[in-house]
Amino acid sequence: MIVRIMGQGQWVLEPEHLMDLNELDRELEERVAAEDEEGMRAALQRLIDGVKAVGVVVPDDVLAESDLILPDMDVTLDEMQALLDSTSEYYGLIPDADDDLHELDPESQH
Amino acid sequence: MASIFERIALVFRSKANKALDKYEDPRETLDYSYQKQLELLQNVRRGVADVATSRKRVELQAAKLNQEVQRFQSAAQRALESNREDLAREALTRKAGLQVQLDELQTQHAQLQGEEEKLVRASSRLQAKVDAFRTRKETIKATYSAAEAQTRINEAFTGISEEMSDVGLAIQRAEDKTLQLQARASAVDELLASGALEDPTGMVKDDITRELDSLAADSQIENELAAMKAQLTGGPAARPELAASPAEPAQQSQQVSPAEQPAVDQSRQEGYQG
Repeated sequence: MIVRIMGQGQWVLEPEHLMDLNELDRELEERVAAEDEEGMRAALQRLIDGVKAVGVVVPDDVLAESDLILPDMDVTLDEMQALLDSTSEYYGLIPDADDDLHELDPESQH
Repeated sequence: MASIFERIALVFRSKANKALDKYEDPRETLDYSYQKQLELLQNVRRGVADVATSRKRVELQAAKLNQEVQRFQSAAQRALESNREDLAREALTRKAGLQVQLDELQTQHAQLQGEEEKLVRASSRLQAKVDAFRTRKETIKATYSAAEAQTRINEAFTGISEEMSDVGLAIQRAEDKTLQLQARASAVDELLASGALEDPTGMVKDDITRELDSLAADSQIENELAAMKAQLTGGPAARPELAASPAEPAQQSQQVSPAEQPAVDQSRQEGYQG
């Protein structure tokens, strides 16, 4: 699947990477629920670093639609809350790997 | 409030769709979109230039503020040397106030620099994508009939529209930050103009500097008076308080052979000779 980090570009992730990222995603959700903006940003930074660490960057000259969009570090607590609400079926920014693996895919295979 | 996720997905598409409805041949929409992409690319480049201009302005102001901070620091030093702790405290208090401004400007400078770097990278990424779109557009126009083209066009659009929305938001954020910065820059300019900070021409002196200068002038007068009195009473050796104080070895050797000493301290040598 392709993940866009706003303002920074796109990365291709393998479905198994989602398992690792879900832990970071869960921390992020907790920080948002606790209305801890600083903690939320730190958690988002770890999630972004995680995506960059395991993902493969999409070359600049490739036109591809993303499956997921992560906000950049400027995001406010309110915006993040709205973002999480809009993706509530995922329980976080990153889809839960175990239930969604089969649905995600057709597009990410090529 | 629309989430970022919704905005990025919808903003550009809805605008594009409205604009695209007026073309009968879907292939013409490719040219229309390409024009829009080039416009956005221009905007991104302008955005980069605006951020760079603001950054340079912050740099100039920070340099000016830093000079002021240094000036109050040395004023405090001078005041203390003249036994004016009250003036030294006042100078350090003003220095602390300016330091706060300076720290804020430096934080802002770092943010702007980050913003500028991001925009530069976004600009080259968008350039590459626009080039890729142009290639795809020409292929579609050359290969497919109007009827067949729609799916290919949709594919090409979805890829670029997301990039354009993302870059568009990045520009908007950079513009907001630049505006905030301009507000702060004007506040600092006002502070400079109000005389709270030294006039850049150096003609206007603040009260601390004026008082220190007058202290320095007073002490110079005292020194000259003391030197004249010493001459009248037959040299410093004759003054009991000087004779009583134990002389340092360095001063001893100076007294022994004044001719070997370079004229580093004119007043002291004059004292000895007189």
